[in-house]
Amino acid sequence: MSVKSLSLKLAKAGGIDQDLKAPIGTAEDIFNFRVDPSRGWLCDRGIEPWIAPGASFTVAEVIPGLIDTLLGAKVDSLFIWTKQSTGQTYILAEQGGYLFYIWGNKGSSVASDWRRNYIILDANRHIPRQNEVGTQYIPYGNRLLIINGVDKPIWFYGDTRLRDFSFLLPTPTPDILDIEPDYLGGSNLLSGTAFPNFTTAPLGLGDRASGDSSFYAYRISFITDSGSESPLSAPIYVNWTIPDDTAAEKRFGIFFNELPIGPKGTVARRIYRTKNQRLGDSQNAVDGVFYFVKQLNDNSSTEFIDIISDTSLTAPVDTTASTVIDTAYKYGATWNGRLWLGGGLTHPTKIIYSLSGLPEQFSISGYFDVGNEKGGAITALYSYYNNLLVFREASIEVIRFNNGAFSISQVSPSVGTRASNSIQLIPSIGVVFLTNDGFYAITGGLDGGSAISVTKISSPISKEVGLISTASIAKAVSVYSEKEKEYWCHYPTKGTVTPSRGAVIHTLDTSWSLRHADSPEDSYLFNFTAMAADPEGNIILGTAPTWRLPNGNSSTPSTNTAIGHLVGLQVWSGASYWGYALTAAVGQGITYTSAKVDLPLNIYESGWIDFGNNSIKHRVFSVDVEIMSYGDYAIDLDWGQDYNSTWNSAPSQQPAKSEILFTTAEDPVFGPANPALTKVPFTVGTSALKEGRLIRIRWDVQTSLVDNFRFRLKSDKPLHLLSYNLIYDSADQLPLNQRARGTSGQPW
Amino acid sequence: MSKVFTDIPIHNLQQVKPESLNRNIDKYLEAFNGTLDGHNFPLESVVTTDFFLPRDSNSLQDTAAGTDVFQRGTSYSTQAYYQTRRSSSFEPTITDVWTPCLTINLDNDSWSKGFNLLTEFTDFEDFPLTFNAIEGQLVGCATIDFEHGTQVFEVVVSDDPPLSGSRSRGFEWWSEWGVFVNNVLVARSGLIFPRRHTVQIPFTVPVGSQQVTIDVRFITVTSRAQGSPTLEVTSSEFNIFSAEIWVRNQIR
Repeated sequence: MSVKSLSLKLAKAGGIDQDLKAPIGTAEDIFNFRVDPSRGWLCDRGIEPWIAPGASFTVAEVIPGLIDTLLGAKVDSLFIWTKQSTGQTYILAEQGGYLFYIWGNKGSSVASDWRRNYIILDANRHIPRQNEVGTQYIPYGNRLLIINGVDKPIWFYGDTRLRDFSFLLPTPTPDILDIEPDYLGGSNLLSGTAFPNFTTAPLGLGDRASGDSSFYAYRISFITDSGSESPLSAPIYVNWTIPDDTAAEKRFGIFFNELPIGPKGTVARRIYRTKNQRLGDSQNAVDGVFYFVKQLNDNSSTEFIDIISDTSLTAPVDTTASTVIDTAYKYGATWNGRLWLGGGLTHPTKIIYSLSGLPEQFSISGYFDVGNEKGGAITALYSYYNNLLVFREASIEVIRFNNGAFSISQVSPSVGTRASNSIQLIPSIGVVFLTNDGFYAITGGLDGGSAISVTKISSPISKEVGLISTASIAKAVSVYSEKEKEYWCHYPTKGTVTPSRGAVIHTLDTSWSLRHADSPEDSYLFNFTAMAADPEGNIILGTAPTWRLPNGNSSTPSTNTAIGHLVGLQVWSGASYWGYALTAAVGQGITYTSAKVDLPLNIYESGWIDFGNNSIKHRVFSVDVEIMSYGDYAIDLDWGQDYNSTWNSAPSQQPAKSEILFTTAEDPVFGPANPALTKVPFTVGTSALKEGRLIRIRWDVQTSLVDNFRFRLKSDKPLHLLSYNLIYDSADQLPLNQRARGTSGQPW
Repeated sequence: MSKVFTDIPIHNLQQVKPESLNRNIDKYLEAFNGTLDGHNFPLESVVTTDFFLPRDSNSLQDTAAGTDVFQRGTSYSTQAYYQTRRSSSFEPTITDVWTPCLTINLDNDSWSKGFNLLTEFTDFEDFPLTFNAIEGQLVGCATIDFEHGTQVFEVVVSDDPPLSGSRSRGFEWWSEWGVFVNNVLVARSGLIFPRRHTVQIPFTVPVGSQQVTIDVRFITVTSRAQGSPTLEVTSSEFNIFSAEIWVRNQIR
């Protein structure tokens, strides 16, 4: 007997397409699913804490403020740095003004030493405001530059070694003793020195005939361990005149009695001086050419005597080769063997670049200023193949290196971004970023006849894009995970400042899905404020923890009975729970008891289906779904009709083969061994393991005669959906003609 | 491999598939088998209590080491640690840190003007660290607390009136320590002028899968003050208070 009905062709369950005329098979909303590598939509993800808290732990010594910060403050930035050629991985994060990295294993079961997981690198840092993107991390070789546009840039070596980056202060001037030739004639020594002195060339400085004036100027610089040279210090002058006394007719060594010690990271100091300018005083100094005298390969000695004669000075110094930088640079990138810094409050349209191979040395001429073109402030620098992309608020520029010179040109005069942390390079798609009106991708290059193009790619989620808060768009964060094969951008919705919804591009089939809570009340479970992927591709989530009292009022981690969700870094994984909730018990110290949090609901919601012709009426009998078998728990299906917001429930079904469900022939499932629940609990050594099988499950629905139909599948347990089919019948009823009633006016 | 997280979930009443049993456990097995990184190691794992006495073929060969030299070693999947020590603070035959565990009378004892092997001296015979290394890198440090002092003696400082005073002598005296791996000098301290000094010599050297012996040797320069009528002892003694070598054999 055949069912007297029509059937859609089995439609592959596609990604989201919120277009009004989206093809059948696409979805209106998919949340918390992923694309399985072997095809289909699978929801099997939860989150687990990066450091498992155990059943409970006690903070014995409560440091005021610190516990509320580390367990209660939102994560402002997160970066996973694998130090080049060492395999060391640092999970760097910022919370409540603390910059730290965390250890995976503190090596002790003493709960009171919980703080030892945190290696704090800096404190009292600037906490980014609603429209600020926060700290940026820029690896250069086996160093890491950490900047936020406010605090001093940090140059991090790994372990606990760090120092200020580059040269933020002018180089101090050395102190030189005066030369007093009179002293040799027997006069009193007033200040300065007349030693050492020389009569034979080439040692010593100055002219030795009676009445000759000698004049020198000195400048020094510091060399850091990256090879970079500081700007030259202000000059210091020394001059003397030989008196009419044969005893004083000498050439002199010039004595530095206070050679400045360089800042941390200085490995050498260089001394430069002019040749003899033969002047009586510094007022008339004319020759400003400084020559390299000597490099001191230490940062400790404070004395130096210069006896190197003018004829030995051959290498003039370029006084423009290094300049001080300020702390306001907000964005950076490593490209072309140089460090590039740009943007920031005091110079929003300026880009500076270091000398090649010398990441801390910025020359006076090494800059671009894009302020003369429309586009607004710089919002990110991103190296892309052999180009450097310069993102601005409303445009994108590209910097290229051609014939030994850099040039800048505009790629897009109208599209730019303020969501700097949304920029990711995604294989097979290009550089993806979020703007006020959706996601764009940059593809192509500038070589070999190729052209860079900027294309909008978020048309399938146009309704979702409308929810994004443009005021807080700088708070958007993103990650690309090679393991999950997805780009995930999480953003604040309108009226909020904390990212709580996310859009995901699955690179396996470039389809879209979303990540958010089923209801706005639960959106705090999706408060992810920072994201990064570890070397294995695990997505690590920085969160905004929520602490509440049992009555629902907001609270803090140091308040008795407060319950905290999403405390500490979390990992997007196969956990069968949504992290832990910690309950505080304040007594002698604070004891936190942990409990797993139930998974939120995952939903696959179809678009409105018009059966190819919504001018006639249809009656839907059932939804027939092709899924992977997953066991004995309930999967719910809701359905709706004719653009009505009401969802009707169909009786739940199990993702198991219908013919053998609830029999002893069923595929074995994980416990409990309760015959009321399952007849086949898995027994080690007895039960045969079976592969998952492709099965068809049918939910019966009862619509009236409708022209549009939709359904959604709901589960908080794994559901692997491949395709679906609708069994329906059509009635030969044409669309109504409205004229008959239209002439009578609106009835009431 | 960094930290290991759950790969696939397990719920009650979920069908048991081969991957539900294997996938998560495989990750932990890989960690056991050596795919580790810094996050797998405890923050403060390298402490004395974590050292164990030799138990396998990679451990110390020198079981004859007596109470005058302390030696131990232990190996893990990615690295092994070895240590040898003779110290006036710890070893039972010596009482305090002020008593040298070795005194060399530079006037009367036998010593060489080149590098001196510690094994030539009493109770240091077992000091060299010998073990079977695995191909990789040796990273370690030698720490020697020793003294080569100046010599203080009375000299005439004035003929009239006749006055004498204490004067210290040690001009151009120095000592230098070196670390030798299989008789090859791999690190040296540089010249150390007369004083008591704790010298630390870090060293690192690539190594094959072979037996390795690491020891420390010293050169010392002193002088005999001939013709000085007031002198009987002409050189100060060369004292060693402790010597220690630890090394990590980094395998992967």
